[in-house]
Amino acid sequence: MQDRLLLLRQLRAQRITRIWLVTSGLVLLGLALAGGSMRLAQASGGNLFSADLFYEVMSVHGSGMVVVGLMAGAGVLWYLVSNEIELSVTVNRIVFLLTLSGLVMIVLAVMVFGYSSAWTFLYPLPENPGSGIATAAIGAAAYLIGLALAVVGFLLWCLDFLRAALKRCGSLQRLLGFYVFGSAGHGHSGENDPTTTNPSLIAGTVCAILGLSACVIGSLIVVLMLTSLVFPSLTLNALVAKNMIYFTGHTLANLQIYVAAGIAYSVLPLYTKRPWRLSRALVAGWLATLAIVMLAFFHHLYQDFAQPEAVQWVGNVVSYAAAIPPMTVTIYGGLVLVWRSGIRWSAAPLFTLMAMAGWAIGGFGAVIDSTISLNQLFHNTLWVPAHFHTYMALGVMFFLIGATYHVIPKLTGRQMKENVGRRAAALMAFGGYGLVLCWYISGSMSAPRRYFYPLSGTEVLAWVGVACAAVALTGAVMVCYDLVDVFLTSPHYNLPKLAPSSELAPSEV
Amino acid sequence: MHHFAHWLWVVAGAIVGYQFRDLVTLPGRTLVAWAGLFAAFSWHLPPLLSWAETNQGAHIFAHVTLLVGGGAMGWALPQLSGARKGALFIAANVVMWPIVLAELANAFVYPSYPGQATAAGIAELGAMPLAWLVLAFWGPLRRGLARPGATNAVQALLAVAALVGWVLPF
Repeated sequence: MQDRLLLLRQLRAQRITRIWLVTSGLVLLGLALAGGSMRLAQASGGNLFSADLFYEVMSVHGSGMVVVGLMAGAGVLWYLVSNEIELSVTVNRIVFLLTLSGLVMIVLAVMVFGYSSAWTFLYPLPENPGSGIATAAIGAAAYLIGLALAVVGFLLWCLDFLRAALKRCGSLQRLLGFYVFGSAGHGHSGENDPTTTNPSLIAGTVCAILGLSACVIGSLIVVLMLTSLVFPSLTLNALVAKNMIYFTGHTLANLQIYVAAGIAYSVLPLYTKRPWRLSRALVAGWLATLAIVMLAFFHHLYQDFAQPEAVQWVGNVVSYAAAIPPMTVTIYGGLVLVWRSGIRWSAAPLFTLMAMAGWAIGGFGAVIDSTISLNQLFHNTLWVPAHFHTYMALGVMFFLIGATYHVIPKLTGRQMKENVGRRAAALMAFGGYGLVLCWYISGSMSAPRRYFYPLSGTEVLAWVGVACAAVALTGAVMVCYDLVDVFLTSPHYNLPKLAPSSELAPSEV
Repeated sequence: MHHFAHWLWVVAGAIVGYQFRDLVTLPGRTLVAWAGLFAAFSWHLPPLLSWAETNQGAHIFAHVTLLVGGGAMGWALPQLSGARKGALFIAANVVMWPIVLAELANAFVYPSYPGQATAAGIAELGAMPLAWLVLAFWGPLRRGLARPGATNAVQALLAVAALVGWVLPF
């Protein structure tokens, strides 16, 4: 009976993960194509489509990528740790529905009601856009509701993760691995102890705690702005609103890479045949991330003179400091794990390692931009999309694709084509780095971001960027085609092998 | 200074409550701990904050609530399971953020204590990462503070700071 229940749970977990993967893959590809068309419109000097449509596409592309990138990562991490902690399949289904309906609302807000104020919906911009669109208020309301649905979805994911993980480890200190600081492991009785944590659980917990704070504040500001839309006499403090929006936006965008790190901890050791051990450095790194990463968002507000000067310095120092834990723990740790391991470079570890490169390079670009004196030059230039596309498109997406190659055989019983994966990796790396290089150069020439026309002198770079984007998108299409092909040709479930009862994880018994 | 005293009142209450953890045995410690947390935070929200600023009676009542809220947590927390303590700690961390952001942007006004909101926000910004470090190194810290001399000194320091913060006019 117990075995049957376990089997049923595993099948339900498989099914919802399959839905997450195929939906996310198709939506991400669609959003990437939208981004490519935006670049083409810009390079063509405004001949492809109108400025209004440009900003609408930009709003969908930016908001959608952050939402789907985060939630797809959360969905994959959920599957990878679901054998270790008793996560709720029902909650995961609700999270999926909330995310999907949120996305649909955002697309409706943009495409039907002409919302085009991007994810940085600074008060009171959404309801008072410069374009004077008649449906601006409805568009803003629909966008905010869509965003709220997605944020509440992630909030539920965070709560469920923390519930299940705390249940397994018994306390927050054990869950975060603080016992490694004790001389005798602070009650740690070895790896057979069912309350022992692991790197993926620590990463997931940190993401859930940070995500919870971001989602609460995100929900709060959305509710306040919606109230202000309905009752215009209610005015908000614009500086508080901006702090809240950037706190949420920066943290949720940043969390994508931390969720992806949790995925890498589960995936990479299986290919290097070496465990990713819990160490003091790893626990200290994640503790530092937990303690300071939320303070980094202040670097978005350097130009806000009304902000207390002290927090501008906090933003600068913390942005520097926040780069150290991933560099020393995850990226260096990943390289050490691979070094002379005799790894076979199949698509999963290849994409994972390339993702770490994207994280390091894009992170470095971000640290440069977070320097107050340099931010005076780079603020709102193409340098900004350059660095975040480096660690989002060439970091987060690569982590997700690597994880997809890893989990597909478990979900479907079939392999994705390795040769397609390796070719796609080459195309996406070549095209992706070419594209961001064009942006880095254009940004250093002060070309503004979110601008319909290329800056005089950067037209050639804009066209080179479009060509590189086309190459990268070709790789993305190849991966997506292969993914859909596997799903269409595989059975609707992959019966997992049941472990003997004595070997079942405690959370599953 | 006055704003910091608010938190010190919570700590002072917690110290008192902790002394009664075994002496008073009542059910519902989880509920009491969450109620204590709510009591400690509620006076930092705009409607109650404004009321406490304009009404002396409400102000005194607010201080009593902070003390009692701290006391409730001090009494209830030691007996809670690790997971429940963890949930409370995370909740406190999450709830602090909106307060800190509002204080930083000077959205909360303390008419009697001008300029304190921003300073309080910055101080709390420093305190929040510190809280995680305390949690991480709670074992060694607890061993250090378990010595009678150390524990008496810290408690006396907190009590004096709470009183000074309440009395000082800035």
